[in-house]
Amino acid sequence: MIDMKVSTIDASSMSSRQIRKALSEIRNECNDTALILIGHGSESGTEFMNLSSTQILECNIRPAILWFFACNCGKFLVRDIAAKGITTVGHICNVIIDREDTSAIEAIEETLANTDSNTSHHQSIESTRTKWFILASNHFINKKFFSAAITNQLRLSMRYY
Amino acid sequence: MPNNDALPYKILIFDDQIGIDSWGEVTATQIRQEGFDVTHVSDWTTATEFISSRHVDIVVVDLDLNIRETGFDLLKIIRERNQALPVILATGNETYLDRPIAGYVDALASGPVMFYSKNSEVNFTDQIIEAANRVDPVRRSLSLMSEAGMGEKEFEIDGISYTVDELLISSRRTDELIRGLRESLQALILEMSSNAHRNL
Repeated sequence: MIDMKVSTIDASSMSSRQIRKALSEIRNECNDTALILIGHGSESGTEFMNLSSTQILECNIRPAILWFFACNCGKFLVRDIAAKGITTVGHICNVIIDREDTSAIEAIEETLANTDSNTSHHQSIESTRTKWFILASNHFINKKFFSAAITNQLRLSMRYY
Repeated sequence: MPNNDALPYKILIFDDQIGIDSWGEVTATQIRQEGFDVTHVSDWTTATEFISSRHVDIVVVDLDLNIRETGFDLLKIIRERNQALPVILATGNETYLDRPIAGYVDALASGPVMFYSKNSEVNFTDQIIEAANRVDPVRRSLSLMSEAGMGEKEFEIDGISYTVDELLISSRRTDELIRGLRESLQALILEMSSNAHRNL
């Protein structure tokens, strides 16, 4: 049983060049790797930090799972990248990031890290959805309605191919 | 239900009449018994300061304030900041009650507004409960965060930082974001309740 190695890159304040460099540096760690990219999408849903699917794929990244934690990337960008054989996840709405509360990202990292060769990528991604439901419910029970709404929105807006 | 909430809904009553027999005081006592947190104010300055600096879930304002301003003027001030706050416009003045509906269209179009006749036999507590059902839970949560000193807390949305206080101010962008979050919260409530039923 081999657990998946999960890398997270917070590209929020990086330039396109810096992002390409960061992606190129991890390109060789591929087969059992999941990559989470945090940053901004675009209204059209075709770009991540002003990079198109072609520009991202040109960095030769081949993770098993690529997760865009950014606005609207689930609309088109994930489909274009998934078409090249990478299981890709994104969101079809605005992703609201609370920098003081990293529990939503940690939930992705934890479920992906526990993915082994017997678990399909899609099952692993669905486990994150379940984890987010529990997280949102707990926020709700504790009357943190704004946090509950943000977390549940993440969960409902998630799309993968 | 609002009354079972750990944080009772806060209601501001602005009625110029004072004294224990005044409509504002009697009504405040009546709805306090239902578990609401009620403040009765009787002058314009206190009312406007309260609205701009404190968390409030529902505003009840007398239309006829016996000053230059009316309840409609307070409604305008409320709407500049918050288009979702439920407001009950109350009056016992026949002049207001006899006015044609055309005189109220702007008020009705501005957001959740209810009218109440002080001469009515309708129980005012029922009106408050109805207004409480219209409270936006997402805005309420943000407003409570702001009152608890977290107004400067930032959230990042597509590369732009918004503080809690900025999210509370109505604009096309913030209203759209909050509408999305409200729908997400409603979906969560439905799913939690459906799970609870399944586990019974």
